[in-house]
Amino acid sequence: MLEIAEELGFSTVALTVQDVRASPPEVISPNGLQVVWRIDLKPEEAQPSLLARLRRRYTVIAASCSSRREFRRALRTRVDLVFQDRPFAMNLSDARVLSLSGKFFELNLKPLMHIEGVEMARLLRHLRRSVRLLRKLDIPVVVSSWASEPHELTAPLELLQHLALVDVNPHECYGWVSEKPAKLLEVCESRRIGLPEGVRILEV
Amino acid sequence: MPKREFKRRYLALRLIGGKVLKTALWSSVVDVYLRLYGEYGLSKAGLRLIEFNENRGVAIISVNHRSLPYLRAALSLLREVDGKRVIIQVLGVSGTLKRLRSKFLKTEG
Repeated sequence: MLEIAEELGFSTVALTVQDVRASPPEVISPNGLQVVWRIDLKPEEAQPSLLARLRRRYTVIAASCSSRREFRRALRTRVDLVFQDRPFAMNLSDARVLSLSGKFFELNLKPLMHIEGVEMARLLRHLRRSVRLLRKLDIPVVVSSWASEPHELTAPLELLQHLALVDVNPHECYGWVSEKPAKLLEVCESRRIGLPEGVRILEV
Repeated sequence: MPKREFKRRYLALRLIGGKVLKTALWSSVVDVYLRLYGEYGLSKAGLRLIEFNENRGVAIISVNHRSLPYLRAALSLLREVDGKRVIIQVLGVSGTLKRLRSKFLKTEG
């Protein structure tokens, strides 16, 4: 799977663990492909003491939300990234709170591949609304394929082509698959080594 | 100089994941496009399969330039052709076949 990811043009991929007791296993990545580990927590699990422990093992700490209530709860924690486990429509006030929290938002495009008909129409309507708000409030977004099988992988630029379905010009969102994920990793790395906000390591 | 009313775009595609037949690939592309945009959308897109090398898994599809983003979105949702799981990678897009071949398919052989 990592070889296909490299072939498709990825330079960095994040592999996900969902069990807080597990440790990230060793992986052999193809040359030129950086692998980072991330852990997905439920908002109620994201307690500060646990996050401090997990930060030593994982580069990115994410919170999954399946409802608006969980989403708001996740925004009050110290995770780096929030994503919708089960897609729901985001409203303006959700987007404002997300914008103020400074967290990254992950746009999960995997459900688009597996549904059709009325369900697809409903999801596109939610997605259209969310994308409009994310762009309006300039929220840092990371687009992900959420692939768990090799055939679910999508080339980075092809990921954005899905946005044509919600009337967004993919060319205007290239940052969502390049600069924003790189920025997320930079922010996470700073948090991991305890650098204060605004301080950067220029050379190692 | 007369201007062409319907400009075309040519896409070079590569199938990753297995060998499929030309007819199977084409019916899958048309099916997914039809599912997403309906008969009206399909009629406006003017899709054509220019060539498909079954051994190398490389295809060229032409489309009306206005429908290009919609075709790319449809292709990114296509994950199964003739019961085989595949990934479709768009190697590049060009306005002429000559340029497409020289730029994107040269290394493909």
